[in-house]
Amino acid sequence: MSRQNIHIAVTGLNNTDNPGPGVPLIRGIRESADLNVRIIGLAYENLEPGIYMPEITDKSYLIPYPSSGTKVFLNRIMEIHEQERIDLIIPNFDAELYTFIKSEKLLAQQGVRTFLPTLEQLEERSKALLPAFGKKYGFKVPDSREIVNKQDIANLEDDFDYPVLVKGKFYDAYFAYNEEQVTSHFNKIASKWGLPVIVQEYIKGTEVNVVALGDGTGRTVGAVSMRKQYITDKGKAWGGITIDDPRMMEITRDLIGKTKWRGGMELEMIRTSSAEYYLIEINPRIPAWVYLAVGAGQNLPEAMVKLAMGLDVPSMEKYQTGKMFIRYSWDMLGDISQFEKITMNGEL
Amino acid sequence: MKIKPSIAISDNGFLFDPGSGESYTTNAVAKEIIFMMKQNLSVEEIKKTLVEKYDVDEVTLEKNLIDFFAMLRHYNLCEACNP
Repeated sequence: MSRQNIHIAVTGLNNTDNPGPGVPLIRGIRESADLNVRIIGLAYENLEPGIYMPEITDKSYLIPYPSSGTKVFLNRIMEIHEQERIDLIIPNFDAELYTFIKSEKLLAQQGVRTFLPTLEQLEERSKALLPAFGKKYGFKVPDSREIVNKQDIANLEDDFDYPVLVKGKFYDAYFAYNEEQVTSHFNKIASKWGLPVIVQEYIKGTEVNVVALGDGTGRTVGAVSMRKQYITDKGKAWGGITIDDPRMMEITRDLIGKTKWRGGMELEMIRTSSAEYYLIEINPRIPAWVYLAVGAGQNLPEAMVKLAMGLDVPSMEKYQTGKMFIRYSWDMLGDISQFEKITMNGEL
Repeated sequence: MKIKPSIAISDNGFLFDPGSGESYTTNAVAKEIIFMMKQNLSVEEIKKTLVEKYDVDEVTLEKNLIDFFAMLRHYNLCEACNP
């Protein structure tokens, strides 16, 4: 295959202790033997580490948050497109997906491709609708309830045993052992992520995750499963290991087959001691630990770029088990002139 | 009693279960027993080998083996888990 010269814009460059998937995704793309790429970093904050890291982005731009309005957001993307000729955008935050999916046609008219789930796919797997999703497609999911005001909290005891998990619609999850704790987490999450807040039944077991890529026809292009070995106080994996669990792969293929999922996804499951599997979350994008999949033999970011560009990608069935990742922190040195450029000019 | 075929054990006794991602360290005798199980030796054959090799009476060995097999069952490391 001849090496393609593709300009790819990527978000999620916040490589902090709550990392976005941008940097590991770029590492995967850059390791492709088939793709010749220029990476354009799209950052929301001027201190996102990914824009300062060597050999990650070729050029970075500040963009406004989607909450500033679709028009403002898209105008900025088009401004960058005029300078960079973006071929493909890979958004990596749950919170920006809605805007990108709604703007898919508009972007395509300007020659900017995306490879995303449909709006229906995005919405039906949302945390608030997970019980209906489980019922529709035949997957075990924990019971959950949408909470929109404090009065709902008092009624929880009728249907749930404590502890329960209190989750934001996009991010954050906390254990609550009584009504007071639910109220406290509800206030915190609602002020950060808005409503509804979701209260989910706690399923005891081991958390296991899958990163997968669907091509939109029902085919699973690749999938790798992982168990977190070390979890931060924010609930993020700081270390993980690939595992060989045929049942998890079966569930993943079944889910992608039934939903005809298009794009990257992360399935979060609980495996109980009696080997039952509960889907606790379906994240509609590639997760931050995707580089583990690359290292284990499935370059899912590369495959996603190829699919978006209309190239054939054979299904990847195998990967190496026992492959580990361990995150670390590293003080990278920069110069005030870099900070000045991104702050004053909105680009670096 | 059979150890799961997918279980990997190294020469220094480090054991890895690729199904769960869990890893374990074993002492020298446990490692020896697992190696024998991977060679499909029966429980009787394992007992015989250990009695001949170590200064241990059969009752003590039996008791320790029952404990060890219970531990393998507990960690879900065996198939056909009943001896």
